[in-house]
Amino acid sequence: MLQTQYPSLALPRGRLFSALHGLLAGSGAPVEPEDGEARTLVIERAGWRLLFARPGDVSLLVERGVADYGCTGKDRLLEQPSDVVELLDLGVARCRLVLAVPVDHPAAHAAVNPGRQGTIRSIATKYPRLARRYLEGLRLPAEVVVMHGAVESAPALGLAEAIVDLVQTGATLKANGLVEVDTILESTARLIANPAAYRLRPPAVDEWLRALRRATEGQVHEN
Amino acid sequence: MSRFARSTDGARELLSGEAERLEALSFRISRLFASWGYRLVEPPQLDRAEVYGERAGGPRAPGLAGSADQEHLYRLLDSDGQLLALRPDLTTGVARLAAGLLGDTQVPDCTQAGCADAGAPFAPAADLPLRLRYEGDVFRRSASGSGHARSQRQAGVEIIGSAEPEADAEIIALAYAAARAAGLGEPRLVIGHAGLIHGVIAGLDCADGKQTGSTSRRWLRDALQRRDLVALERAAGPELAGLFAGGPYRPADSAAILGKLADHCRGTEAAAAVDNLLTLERLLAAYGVPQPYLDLALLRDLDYYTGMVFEVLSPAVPSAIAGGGRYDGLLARFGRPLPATGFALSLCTVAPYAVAAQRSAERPRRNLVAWLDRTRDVARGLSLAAALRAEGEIVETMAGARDLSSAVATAAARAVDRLLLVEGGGYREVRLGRGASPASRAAAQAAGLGTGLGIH
Repeated sequence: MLQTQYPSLALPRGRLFSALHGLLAGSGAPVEPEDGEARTLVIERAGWRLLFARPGDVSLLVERGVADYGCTGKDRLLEQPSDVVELLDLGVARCRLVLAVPVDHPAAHAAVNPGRQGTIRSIATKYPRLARRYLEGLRLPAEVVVMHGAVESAPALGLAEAIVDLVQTGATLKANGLVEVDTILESTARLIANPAAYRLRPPAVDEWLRALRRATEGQVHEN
Repeated sequence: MSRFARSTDGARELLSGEAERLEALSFRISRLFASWGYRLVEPPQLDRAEVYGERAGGPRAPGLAGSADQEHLYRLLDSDGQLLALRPDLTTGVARLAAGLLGDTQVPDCTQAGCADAGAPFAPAADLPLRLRYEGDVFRRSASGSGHARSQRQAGVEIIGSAEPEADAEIIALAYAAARAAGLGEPRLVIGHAGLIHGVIAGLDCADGKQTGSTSRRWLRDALQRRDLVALERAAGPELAGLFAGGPYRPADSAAILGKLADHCRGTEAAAAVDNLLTLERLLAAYGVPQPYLDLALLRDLDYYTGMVFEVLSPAVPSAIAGGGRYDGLLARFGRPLPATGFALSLCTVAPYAVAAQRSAERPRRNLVAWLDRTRDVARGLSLAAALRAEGEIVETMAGARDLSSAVATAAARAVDRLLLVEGGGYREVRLGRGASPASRAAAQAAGLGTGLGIH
């Protein structure tokens, strides 16, 4: 936990960082574009402490108090609930969690209904919790196959009939011969906080949060 | 490596240093609670799962993951088919215990030797409010691999039978005193109130005719429980959400914030809550406790807390140290509708940060009593150990040491202050800890005897 004026901020590496860094820089956080590819895990700069982690680990760092604040996707927050405060919708890295099937699958051109048992028998996903909740809502007793990456390859490999995966442009789906059948949820990047750190935040952090909110409102929203 | 070499994730195992720190903290806290007149009770660790209800009805444990929902209970089937659960909190069991004792059953007051008052009720109504204290482990099931602790040691207190703000103030002041007793720097008190949230819900119902009471209540309750201020803003609008997100407010700013909040409230609950908070402010000043900060988003268990809620935070600690509030509906579940207020403190969360109360000069001296001849010297060795222990010193014994230098090596490794080597008709004292430098300890180890040692 900090005693310094500025907070420690956990940031995701990779694609999510590219979407975030402009916004964070606009709020006054000392973030550089190349930080997303940095080899080091911790960067101390201008009184801030920046921690770079895999996207799935950001909320863990914040929950444990290793970082006071963090940026992560709403999809991750829903998949793995953590004891963190969700402060701000950053409006970037917009994507959808969808159910997708191969173009030649019967479900591709018919709605997936409750009661149509057996329409889809297995689903591969990196989001088992959200997938299961979605299936329960549809009363669809499909098996959930948990994968850690390249989920879009599952139907072609015969691992599962369908997938539940995150989609931005839809290009990856298309390239793998898949079509969206249903949208499960929309997700954007969120600012989260450690509850105790948030309750003890100094005025400098309040100012930063206000600046970040202004930067969020001022940006051109992505489609 | 044996498959039992480590325990399962989240199961708590403490080694000597940590365990002793926890014990010392526990001792200090229970002495403090006792000194304010709280009497010790022990609720059962295992109980019927239904005691913990559908939503468990218990308070959130600070520092422990998971809500009090059924899915977080460790449940087991007894041999007679009864569904039992490991307690997820202490308050529920204490409430049930107290409700039972406050009923018609007469229970001997066994605080007196020989149960002289056998037959007298534990607490006739004239003895209310009851002040009870408790300590023990609570258990919450968490996703495996999540790294969350599955058990947590808590210490807590309850005042049962008083609806007065004096009881709430006492609880808050005692929590603050506990944080100070643990040696935590600058504890901060943060307070909220259920009445304010109910007022806001009533206001939302008025503002949007489409939303029924149950809908407003549900999403607001859910958003607060998940700490989802984004959802709060979406549903309640930026002004109201800003009031929730902007906390905790300094005491000086609280009145203004409550004024702004009043614009969003309907009904009498919010005004009554504000009055209550003002009264608490005055009473806490009388205790000499710093004024609490106001945080509207503090209340997370709307179904459980009925009045003030509070937390104690410290800059050193990454989660709340203690938390509690007023829960007037709990004892009614056990057949004795009585108001209650209390808090629990997470000993496990606090222990690593608690400052040791005793400086080393005050702690008992640690000795190693060793003897070389297992037959000739054992009686003298043991009686020397007993005599020192009777004087409050800590004594480890070592039978059959090979020679002086191996005894010295063992003593140094055990970090004792003094080695007493029993031989022949008496014993030699070799000082190692206080009064000896590390260099002389090392020299003693190497040479058996040397400078810096006192040999008698």
